[in-house]
Amino acid sequence: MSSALCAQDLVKRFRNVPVLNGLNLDVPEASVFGLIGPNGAGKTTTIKILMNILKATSGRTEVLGADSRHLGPSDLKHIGYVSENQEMPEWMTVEYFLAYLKPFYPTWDEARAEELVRQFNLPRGRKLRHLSRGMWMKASLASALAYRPRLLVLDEPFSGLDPLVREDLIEGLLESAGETTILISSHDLADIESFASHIGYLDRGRLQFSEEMTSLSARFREVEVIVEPPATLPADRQWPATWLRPEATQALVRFVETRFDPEHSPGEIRRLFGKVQQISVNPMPLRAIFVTLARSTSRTA
Amino acid sequence: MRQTLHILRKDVRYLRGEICLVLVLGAVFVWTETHSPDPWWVEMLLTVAAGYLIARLIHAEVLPGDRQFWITRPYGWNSLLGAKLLFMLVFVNLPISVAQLLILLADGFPLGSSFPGLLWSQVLMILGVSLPIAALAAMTSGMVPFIFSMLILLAIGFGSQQMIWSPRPLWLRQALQWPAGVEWVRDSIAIIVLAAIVLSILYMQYKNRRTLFSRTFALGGVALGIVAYMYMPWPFAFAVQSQLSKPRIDGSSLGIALDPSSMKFSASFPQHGLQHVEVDLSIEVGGIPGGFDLQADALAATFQGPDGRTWKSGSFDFSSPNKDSNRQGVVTLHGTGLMDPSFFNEERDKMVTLQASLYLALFGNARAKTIVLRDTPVNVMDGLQCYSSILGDLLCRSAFRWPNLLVRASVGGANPNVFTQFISYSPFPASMHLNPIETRLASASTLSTHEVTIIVSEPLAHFRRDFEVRGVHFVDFAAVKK
Repeated sequence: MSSALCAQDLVKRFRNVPVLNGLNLDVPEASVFGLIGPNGAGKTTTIKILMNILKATSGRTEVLGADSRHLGPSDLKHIGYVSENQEMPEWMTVEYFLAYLKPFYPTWDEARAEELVRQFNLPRGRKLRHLSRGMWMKASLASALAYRPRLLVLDEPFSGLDPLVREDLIEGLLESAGETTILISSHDLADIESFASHIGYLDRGRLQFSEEMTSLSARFREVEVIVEPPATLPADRQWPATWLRPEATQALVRFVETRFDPEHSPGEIRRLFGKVQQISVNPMPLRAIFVTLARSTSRTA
Repeated sequence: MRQTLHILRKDVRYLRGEICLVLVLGAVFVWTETHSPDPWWVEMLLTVAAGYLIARLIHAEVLPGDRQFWITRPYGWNSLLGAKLLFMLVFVNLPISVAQLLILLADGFPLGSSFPGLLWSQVLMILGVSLPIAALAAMTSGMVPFIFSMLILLAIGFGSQQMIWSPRPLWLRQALQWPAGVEWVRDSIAIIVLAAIVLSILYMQYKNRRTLFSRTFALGGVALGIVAYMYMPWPFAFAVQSQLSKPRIDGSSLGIALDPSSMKFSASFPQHGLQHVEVDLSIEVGGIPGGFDLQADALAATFQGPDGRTWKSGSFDFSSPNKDSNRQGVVTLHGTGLMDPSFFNEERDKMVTLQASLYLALFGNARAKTIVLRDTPVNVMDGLQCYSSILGDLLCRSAFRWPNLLVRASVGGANPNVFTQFISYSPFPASMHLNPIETRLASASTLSTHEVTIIVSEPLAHFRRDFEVRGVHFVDFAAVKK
């Protein structure tokens, strides 16, 4: 599968403060790639460099096969960008905003624009400055979806929105998924989980992992082991590096297995704990995976 | 081009209120110019409104920053810049030039002869006002930083103007004050340099949005420009002037000669708080052929004491030359310059040598026309209109600039009075003013007469005479100024 977006050894420093430390990222075409990570991980900076809004200190980035440092009008005709922090022409009404943008895009689909206005229930005659945050974000997204971009980049689009608006936005996005590659950075992991095909976890300026959502969900498991009391954790050198956040109470040991394999993992558990009374293995939601990773990496840091 | 027009239409819609304001102020400007004696406040309001409109126009697509929606949209930088420039032409310069045209027509100036001035006036306004404002707006992220930067620049400009007339520091005043005749050379260089800086900034900002680099470039360029403006030697401008104006008469063959022995010298200074010493020089010039008039444009003087200390003067100001009625072809020139008091006090009892270069202009081809004075302007010649004020002052005016002619008025057969000795020899048809009419006052009362003869002479040659006077003894001439 070819890449819609890629970054190689990307470094960005703001006045000698490193934000990105050799980031490598690959977003496959036609994927919905969720870029997650704690605050200050470098998600927005990565996106701004990919969109040629910021210059990287070093490294290489490509967007739709073009060097992102040279993204020009001909490339931007096929790219949509929506960010919670964008400054919009607030004096424009929704209708005028869409009409104004139309001539910039040869692929502008008037019927699709009409459909999005209806679907998002946008008030055509209202100025952007008078829209609620949710409506404002919908208008922004509609203006990016109406020309059926090949790539859609969304920076924290769900931040501060109520569940209904999120649902509307996701619905709008899902209709474009498939024909459009979507890169979305968000803290709203439950929402991302519902439609992302790939996940990248960014922390301290590096991509800690990047993989398909199905594979990620399959390999992360919360494991509870009931042993004969008192439960003790094996010595550090015996504790596998893929087992995170270990906890032990009287007869219970709990941890997160990050490389769960139904054939080998139970045997490994039994080998380490000796007399095991019961092993229960539970799938984890993305949010739990994110918290586990964030806490583990902050502890190692 | 389609994108340019599309952005232009959007900007017109966005700024329709501001456009109306400029148009209304333009109309008020026309009305007041043709009905009021000194509508400076309208000019000021129109300038501020036009500047505000330009800044708002540029800020419609703010260039510094990383959050603007338009930077991730397929805008072509040249389309965007083109739209902004086209807007400025159509909604700032065009209304102003129409207002100027209406004023000229209402005041009876012929359209044909005013047209070059009208066009040149707009060229100067674009290069000297509109584009610098646009460049400043292109480096600022909103109206607050724009106004703040504008106020700083205005304060620097106003401060420089004040320094020209302030006695201190003397070196700065001497550096800034140029002979009026050739000041256009320095102003033209300044406008060219300014235009080069602002066009580079607009190009860099619209193409690459490298704001930090643009700001550094602007600051560096302006600082270098100010230094160059201050230290540009004015004698060089006379060399340029001599090169540009083909002499229609050879000044060296006319036998015009200075008589250094006729030189009179006086120095006066304030009794308390010595700030500068005023040096007055008068010198006779003879051999001026009949039908010609001589004007002194400037004098560069170097005083050298026996101890080797020197004082280089700035340009001396000259009043109208006095003709010697008993001696044909002889005039006395009167010039005033300033001297550093420390040099004066050090050398006051010593014999000082003066080395000087006197820059002269010879006027001829005189034409005269007698008109019946009215309180409304009468077309005279060479684009001049003259009239009498209620107080009996004789006033003449011309479109866009005072002509580079020696204009004199003879009232009731008396010796002609020169309207102004500050004649710019600029070859350009307009100076940078919003008001398209420049008026000058003659020091002659018209209360006792109804007729006046206006005489105009053309500059035929610019030339320089060097001379040296030894044994100047300051203390002999010193007088305390009360």
